[in-house]
Amino acid sequence: MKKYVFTIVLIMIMLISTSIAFADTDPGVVVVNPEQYGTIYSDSLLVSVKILEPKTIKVTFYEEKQIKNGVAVAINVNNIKEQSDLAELSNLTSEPVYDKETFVSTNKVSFYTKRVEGITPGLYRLKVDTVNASGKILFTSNTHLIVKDKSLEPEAEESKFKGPQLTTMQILQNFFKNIFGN
Amino acid sequence: MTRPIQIERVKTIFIVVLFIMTILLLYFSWKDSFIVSIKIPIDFLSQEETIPMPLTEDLIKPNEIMVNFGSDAHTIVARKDYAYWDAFVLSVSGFLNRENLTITEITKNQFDEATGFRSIRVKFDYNLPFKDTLAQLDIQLNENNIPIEMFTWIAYSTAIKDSIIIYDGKNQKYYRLISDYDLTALNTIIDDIEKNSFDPYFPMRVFLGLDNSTLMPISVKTEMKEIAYGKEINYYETEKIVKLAQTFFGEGFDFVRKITESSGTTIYMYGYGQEILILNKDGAIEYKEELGNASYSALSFFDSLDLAANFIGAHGSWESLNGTKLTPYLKDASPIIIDDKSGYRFKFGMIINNHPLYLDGGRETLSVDVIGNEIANYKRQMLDISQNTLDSLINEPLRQTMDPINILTDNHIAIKTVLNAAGIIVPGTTETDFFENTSILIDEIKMGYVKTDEKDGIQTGKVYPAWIFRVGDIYMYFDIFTGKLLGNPNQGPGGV
Repeated sequence: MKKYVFTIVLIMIMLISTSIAFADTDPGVVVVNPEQYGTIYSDSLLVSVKILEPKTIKVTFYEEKQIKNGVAVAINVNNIKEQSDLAELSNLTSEPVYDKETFVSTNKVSFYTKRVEGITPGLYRLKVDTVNASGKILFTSNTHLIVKDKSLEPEAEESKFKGPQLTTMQILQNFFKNIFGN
Repeated sequence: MTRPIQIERVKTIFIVVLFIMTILLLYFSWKDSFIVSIKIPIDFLSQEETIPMPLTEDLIKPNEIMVNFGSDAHTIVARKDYAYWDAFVLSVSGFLNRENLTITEITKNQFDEATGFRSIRVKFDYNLPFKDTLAQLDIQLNENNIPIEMFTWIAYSTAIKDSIIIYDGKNQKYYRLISDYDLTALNTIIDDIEKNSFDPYFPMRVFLGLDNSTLMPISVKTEMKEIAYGKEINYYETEKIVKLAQTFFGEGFDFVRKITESSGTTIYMYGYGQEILILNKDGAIEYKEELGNASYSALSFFDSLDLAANFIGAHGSWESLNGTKLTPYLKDASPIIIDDKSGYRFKFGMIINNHPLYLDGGRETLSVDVIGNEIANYKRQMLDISQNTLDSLINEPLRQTMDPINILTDNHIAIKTVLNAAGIIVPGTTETDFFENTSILIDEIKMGYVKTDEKDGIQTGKVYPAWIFRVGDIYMYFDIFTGKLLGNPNQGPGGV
């Protein structure tokens, strides 16, 4: 009997400890925008966080910089082709773009939104903490964003916007349809 | 009695009968022209003065000019900056004037994809006849074989720099027009708007993560505030009522009956109800006319619009009878059929301080039904707003509005209730479901003034700054600062 109780307690401890160890993201707090590792070609951004229960979140938006020769400089994201390239970056430091903001949700559905202006090309990180009444951090999520210069936005493929050129017969058909109706 | 006397009496009676018959014959033969002659509009102006009328090109202004700066950042051009529309027309004019114009039909997806890049979309809330509108805008078209019947949207995208895209809302077709004309000026317009301060908008999908591309603003400041108004005409202003009625029935009121109801409503009726003028206690005016038996011939869109504009000018004028002059615009135009005769219903709105005015509960500022060359119905509810009141807005400090996203989260249950009442069932079982399924239906969010008779159960005599949410043809108004639902929702663009 003692064996069974011990096993159950052990399993329970393992389950609870696992959930604590891995549940670092609050399922009731969803970062809608920006998308994780998304790329924008703009100097402004809309931050939107959906909160599904009455709770308090603290939001910080950082620029990730690299320390080179003792100076923090913007990361050259133009050379980053895929997400794995970001993992290879070293000597990183985070500089807040705006002060940490606290948002208290009282509804069952609410949104924290903020327009961030004047952002320059680089790597950014949105950090959202869910805190309890005493300010203790319960959950944390980090969303990375790549900002590139507007001029680098890929051009549209011309072939995507081609349609059938209207023939004389179609034009005549349309003409008579306009006069006599369908 | 002698025989000659009898003969004289018979002659006298005969002459009297002949005289009466002549009068009757003259009446029956000249009846129509006789009525016309006694119905010369007298108006409030002397015969020498011309009726002040807005220009057609001033009435036909886009309902929205949307600019995409790329990466989902947008703005909606404020009405005070509509000089950009004139610049847009200038480029389109040069473009359409080329001889080597080619046209292809594209899909909605291609249109959406193209306008997803840096672009300008100009939207009208009604369908305009394509070729007639170009003529109105002094745009010469060199290519005759253009199959586009109507246009509702016109757009330019940097994704296809040699093209203009047109959407025909009547036939639900998208056309890409290509020419060798240099459209760099349109890029400059986008750059110019971006450099100046603008109200930021993003598609709702960026806010909510839902499939809705309706633009939603964030962090908008405004100088708007409550504005007091008066009625254009009050039920006790007898002289004013008579003067207005004379513009419809002539000075003599021949064959016209007047009925004054205990409610304060005054009704003028010509003949057996062929023409009726109703002046309601709330200041609203309605005129109805039976269509005549005269030969009917359909008028073009712009001839009908001219007729409607002239009628308004002659019957109450384009201005409020007492207050300051407001800027009219064509809010909606739709084809109608009355007694098997086709025509148009034109609804005109007014701009106050660069923002459109809405009347809640399905009422209109000005509405005219034109059938052939006759007016079948005319509705009018102009507001008197003093010039001093409008002048005071110039120095009004900017105030932060409530973000529409918060209006949506606070009011989604109220919106769902309005939609349910209109027969639109919002599915769901949880509050999150209801929120998402309501949000996905929002078609438009814009800023404007709304006239409500009551606020918090009290009659106020004010118009309120509002965020206006539209779902299909249902309009809902929310206080721009507090987010509280204002007045009664409308069905139709200002009317049921």
